[in-house]
Amino acid sequence: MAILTAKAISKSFHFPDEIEILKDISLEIQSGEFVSIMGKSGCGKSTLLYILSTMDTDYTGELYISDQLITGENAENLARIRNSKIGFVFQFHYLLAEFSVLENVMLPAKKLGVKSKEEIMHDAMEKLKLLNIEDQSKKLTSRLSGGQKQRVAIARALINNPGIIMGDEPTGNLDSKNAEIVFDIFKELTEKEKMSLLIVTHDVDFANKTDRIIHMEDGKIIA
Amino acid sequence: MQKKLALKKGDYIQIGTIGGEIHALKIIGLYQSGMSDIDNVHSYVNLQMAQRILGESNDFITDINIKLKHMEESPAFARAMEIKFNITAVDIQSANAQFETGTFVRNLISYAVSITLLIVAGFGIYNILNMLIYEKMNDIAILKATGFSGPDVRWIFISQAIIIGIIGGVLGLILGYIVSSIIDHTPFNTQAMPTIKTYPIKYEVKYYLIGLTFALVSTFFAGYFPSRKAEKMDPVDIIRGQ
Ligand SMILES: Nc1ncnc2c1ncn2[C@@H]1O[C@H](COP(=O)(O)OP(=O)(O)O)[C@@H](O)[C@H]1O
Ligand SMILES: [Mg+2]
Repeated sequence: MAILTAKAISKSFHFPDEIEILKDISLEIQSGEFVSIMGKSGCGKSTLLYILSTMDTDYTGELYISDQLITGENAENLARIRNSKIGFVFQFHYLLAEFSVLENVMLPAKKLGVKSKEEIMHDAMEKLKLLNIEDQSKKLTSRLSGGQKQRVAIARALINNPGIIMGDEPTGNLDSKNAEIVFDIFKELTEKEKMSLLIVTHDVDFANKTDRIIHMEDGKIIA
Repeated sequence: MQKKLALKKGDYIQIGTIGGEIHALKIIGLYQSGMSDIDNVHSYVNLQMAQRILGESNDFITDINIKLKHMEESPAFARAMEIKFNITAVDIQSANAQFETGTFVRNLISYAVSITLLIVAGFGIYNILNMLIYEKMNDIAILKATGFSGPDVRWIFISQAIIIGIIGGVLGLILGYIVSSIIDHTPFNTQAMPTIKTYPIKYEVKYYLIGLTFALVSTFFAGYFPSRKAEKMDPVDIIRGQ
């Protein structure tokens, strides 16, 4: 079953000049698949990921999540879809500095509002355990190392058990040892939790260990 | 008057009229209105005595003062009396027009000053929240990226403003109460009103409620515009900016 389907997606920026950044992109991510995207800087990888994660709605083409058409939904519904079905990990961790590790992880689940606070807290601890940082749960996020922060960000992306995790160079700011840890976590997630992953990376070793590599050049998929 | 002439209850006094007659009067009571303008020159006698002193018949009356339960009804009542008895009736508002104008101007000045201060304070809060929004841009981006909607984010900033308004408003009222009770105990001596020893202060719940309402309204507006800005921020633009 396809968790994510993109059909003929194109995008242009109109400012300063009219330029087409993405040209007729079609792709499909199967449930449980670990896919990486590679390509030169500026070829449109981030732009594509922002569209696939429903944050950017200014494009042509069609986007499906779990075979449900997403294109054209209103902002409120898109926010709900992002909250429940998509986990996003950026190059930068974007943790809230005034909150503890645990509170940061709990936040998206509180927004979802399905479970009680105790259940959410329990789930958040489970996710932190999965990422081996449960001992840091009470700390403020500003007290963590870069690698630990990125793991908290992954735990936050996982909290609502989304269908797919997207990452825009999630290991880009990490040293090779921490990058390896993060990769192993992703690997474990696909194998144990049947999580689908779509990760943009510059790291050839990282990409080679994934199920499939999508190569991009000048806004097109070339392989 | 009593003190100046060293008189007490039961004493006799003699008064002379312009016509040269002399009347002996007994003091049967003392009265102090609190306004020295009145207390220094006024004495009261009963109606027959007054008519005798003035040498008039017993149907002579110069004027009648009527006290109403509700002061606002005075002008209408005066008009009605004029028509009914064909007399000249002056309501208390016209009689004290100069005093009323003075009060009105003083109120106008104090409200103008208060509103100016509130606008200045409101701009201060507006500025703080505006800066807060730029400082918290990354947080806004991640909240939106993880599924918080625009109205959610707007509500966060509006509630911040309202919290500032409530805390500030209540602290302001407490401070205002303390300052006014200090003033209330400050000596205030004036020749015109010898019975008043400290500054007169009116403690009325109404004024405190007006104060709190103004505080909440001004902070709400100060928070509204920055929160609209936060609502409209595009997470993609913010994340790209890194
Ligand atoms: N807001 C924008 N306006 C105009 N051009 C942009 C804007 N954002 C990105 N671009 C351009 O789009 C291209 C693709 O950017 P991006 O998707 O970030 O590339 P990548 O992530 O692959 O490095 C780049 O050439 C960049 O200059
Ligand atoms: Mg990029």
